Amino acid sequence: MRHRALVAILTLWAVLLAACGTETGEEDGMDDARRTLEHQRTDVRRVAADLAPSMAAAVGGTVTFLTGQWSGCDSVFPQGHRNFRYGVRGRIDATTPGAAGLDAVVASWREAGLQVEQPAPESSAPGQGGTRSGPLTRSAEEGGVQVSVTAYADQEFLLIGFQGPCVDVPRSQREEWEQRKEGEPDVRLTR
Amino acid sequence: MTEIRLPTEPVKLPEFDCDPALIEGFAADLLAASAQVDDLGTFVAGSARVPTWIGSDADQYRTGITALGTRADAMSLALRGVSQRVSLHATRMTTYETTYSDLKERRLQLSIAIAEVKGLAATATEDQVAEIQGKCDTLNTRSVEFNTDASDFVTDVSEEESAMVAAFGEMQTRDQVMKRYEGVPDPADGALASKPGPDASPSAVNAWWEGLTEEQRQAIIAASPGSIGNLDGIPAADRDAANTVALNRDLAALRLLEERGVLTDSEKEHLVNAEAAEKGLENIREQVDPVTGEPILAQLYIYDPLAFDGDGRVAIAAGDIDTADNVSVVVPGLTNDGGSIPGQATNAADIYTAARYDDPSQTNATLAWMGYDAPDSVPWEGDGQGGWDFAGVVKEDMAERGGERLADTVDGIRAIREGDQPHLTAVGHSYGSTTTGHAATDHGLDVDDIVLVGSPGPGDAAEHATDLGVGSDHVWVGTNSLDPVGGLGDKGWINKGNIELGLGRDPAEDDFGAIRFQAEATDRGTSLDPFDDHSKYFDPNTESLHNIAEIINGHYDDVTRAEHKYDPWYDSPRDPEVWRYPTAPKTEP
Amino acid sequence: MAVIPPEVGQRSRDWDDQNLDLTAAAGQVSDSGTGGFTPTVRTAAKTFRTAWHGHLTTLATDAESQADGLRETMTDWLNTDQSADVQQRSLIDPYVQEIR
Repeated sequence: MRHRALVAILTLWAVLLAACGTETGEEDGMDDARRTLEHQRTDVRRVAADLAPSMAAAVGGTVTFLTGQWSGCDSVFPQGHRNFRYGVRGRIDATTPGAAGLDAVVASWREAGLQVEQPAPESSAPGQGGTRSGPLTRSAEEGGVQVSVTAYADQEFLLIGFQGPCVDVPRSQREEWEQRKEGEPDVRLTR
Repeated sequence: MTEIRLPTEPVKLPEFDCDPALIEGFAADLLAASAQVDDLGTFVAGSARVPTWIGSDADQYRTGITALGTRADAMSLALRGVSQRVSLHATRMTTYETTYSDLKERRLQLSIAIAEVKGLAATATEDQVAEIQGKCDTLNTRSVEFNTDASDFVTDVSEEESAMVAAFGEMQTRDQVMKRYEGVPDPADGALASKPGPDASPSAVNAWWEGLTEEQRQAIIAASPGSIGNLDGIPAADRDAANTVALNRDLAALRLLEERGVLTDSEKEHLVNAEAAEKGLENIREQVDPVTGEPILAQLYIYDPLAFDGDGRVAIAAGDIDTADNVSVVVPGLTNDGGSIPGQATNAADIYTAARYDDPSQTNATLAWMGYDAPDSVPWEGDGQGGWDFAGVVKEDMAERGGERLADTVDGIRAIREGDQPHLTAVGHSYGSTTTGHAATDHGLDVDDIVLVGSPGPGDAAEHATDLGVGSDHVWVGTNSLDPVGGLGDKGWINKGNIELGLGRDPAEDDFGAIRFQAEATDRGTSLDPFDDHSKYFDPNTESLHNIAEIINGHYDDVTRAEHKYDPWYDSPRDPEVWRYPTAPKTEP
Repeated sequence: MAVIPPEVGQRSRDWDDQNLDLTAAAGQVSDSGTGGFTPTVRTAAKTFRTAWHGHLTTLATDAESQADGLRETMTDWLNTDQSADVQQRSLIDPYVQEIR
């Protein structure tokens, strides 16, 4: 019977949600979301273009590709995603890969005045016995854009990423953002 | 002063501008058109003849269509041949693109080095001459080699261009076509005659396919894509090629009918499913592999848009099923029509990306499998507004039937990977976890690991993780503590779960014996729609996706375990995960 | 006059469908982009495309002619052979009109 009570509460929740005017301010929100995301794309591309070469220089490497794309953040299946962000990804083929490369990139960020985030804390989960050298990541923030670098103990490259925060889009715009494509190419500094 | 012999300058490279992907698209269009013409030939040779009609009118009609059929057969073969030549051209141009890019880079480096050495030569003293001359000689050798390679490149491209132009020119007029192909048997016909029957095992199908010549295989793909596109035991690349022909043909035909406003209701459904498949493929190809920077390979593994009374049966892979080290099959819970495949394809691409990001040394493929007829309405996915849709008691019958199909699909993958078996994982979400459960308990699902996320229960035949047949240490369960669907399953003899909505045991509970992994979302419980927590398991940068990637890659020790739910006899079930602060491990660059 | 079985009516519809499918195929070929080829090959590809649009359109027209021919035969039969029973006539009657 406890589940029946839960069902009743959740149903009421859904009814209230529907009654609370989900379309309130939809018109304004549409323009705001579009504007915000398009600005975000400009910002992310600018930060990527500014920082990727110096990150590559820090590890004596070259950026082998750099491509931008929109992506959804939180699913609202089956309607796609509730929010979206713009991101640029790339790879640096480095002469100093691995943990040393990671440290060199982080040092270059500090030199450039970026706010470097502390490494993510280890999970507090029980039964945790990680033995493999998985990806090592560090992140920083530059003008609202999250910058990240990932290194591997057994790979001669680093992966780099630049992405903006998730921006909620109005329900009526979800389809558009799911399908949104950029002109070709998006961002290609080098090839 | 000794004179220094300066190195030869590298020659200027000509412009080289082509797009092999577009060339491949041209080939695909020709192939789809050829399949359409082939259909005309088949129609004329078969049902169009109306043997029950007798008399002079009938005889005259049959004589007339015979000539038309002969022409259709010849034209189909001609178009197919040109399509295959264009496809080869695309492959060669891809190679030349790489060569050109390398040559450009070499020329740039040479030019810089030669400019430097010229500067040195201009100001050299007598004792520097020998050293500078040495550098000049080395550069001269490189430059001469470069000029030879550049010249070879120009010759090769030019020869290939001429061959392609000739291939177009040789099959331009009807006379040319008839002279070359009239009466020529289609290699597909003989090959299809030896095809194993409908009850053949995937291994027997695979043996038949591998025994054909490349010409026969390509002929079947072009002329009879429906005969092998969804046949278990056929390699994924060939299924993809055949299904792409069928999809392109459907899209062209149905869009024309739509333009003319004469689509029937069933054709409308057909078009919706075909366009959804096209969009699903695009969703994958738009994403890039985080390691190579190349677009993720998409394979149309099942394309049966008219199955299940028009709901459609579609499966799309992100990655190459034929070669990947790890293959995962994702079984969704909402498949009431093929129209939802684009979202499933995006999930597959996200899982692929997470697995590649987690371990670049392994290759992956993730199949979004909508190969069964799921309920049109299940309570937690019914109204699209986040409310329960009380369409009735949820039954397991569709999961039982779907389970058989899932097991068959996995057997097909096993057959095509004979001698090079991948690590195979089935990932069931929501009602799809019940389908996965039934595939395991009823049909011996031949996978290495089973992952159940957002599960209302793995079906009534799975009392314990060991019942799934892969060993309890290979049964993995992800349940967000605030996912209302994840709480539906039976907790044991005191708490029987929700008897109308649950579909067996709660697999996240301690007594079930599976390994529970962390699957909380950092924004859990924050949405006005409580069902949002049921649909976050494949979202990037979540505990759930990270752990699924670790399991798919076989990194069991790196899966972050969660404490099980438990059900004390004196109170309601408890979920310790409610009290843990969720994390957001990175799953992409 | 020989009896016309109802299958003839269904075949006339099938020929109409062949016409539509081949028209679609002709459109698919003529709309296919040649921009991926190098300039040397592009011209030949365009010429080929134009020629094959013509071939496929001809096949489509021929299919439509077959459909029209069968309809004409059925109409003649209905108009001239009054001896056929009502049931036979009613099976053919729906097919004399072109639907699409």
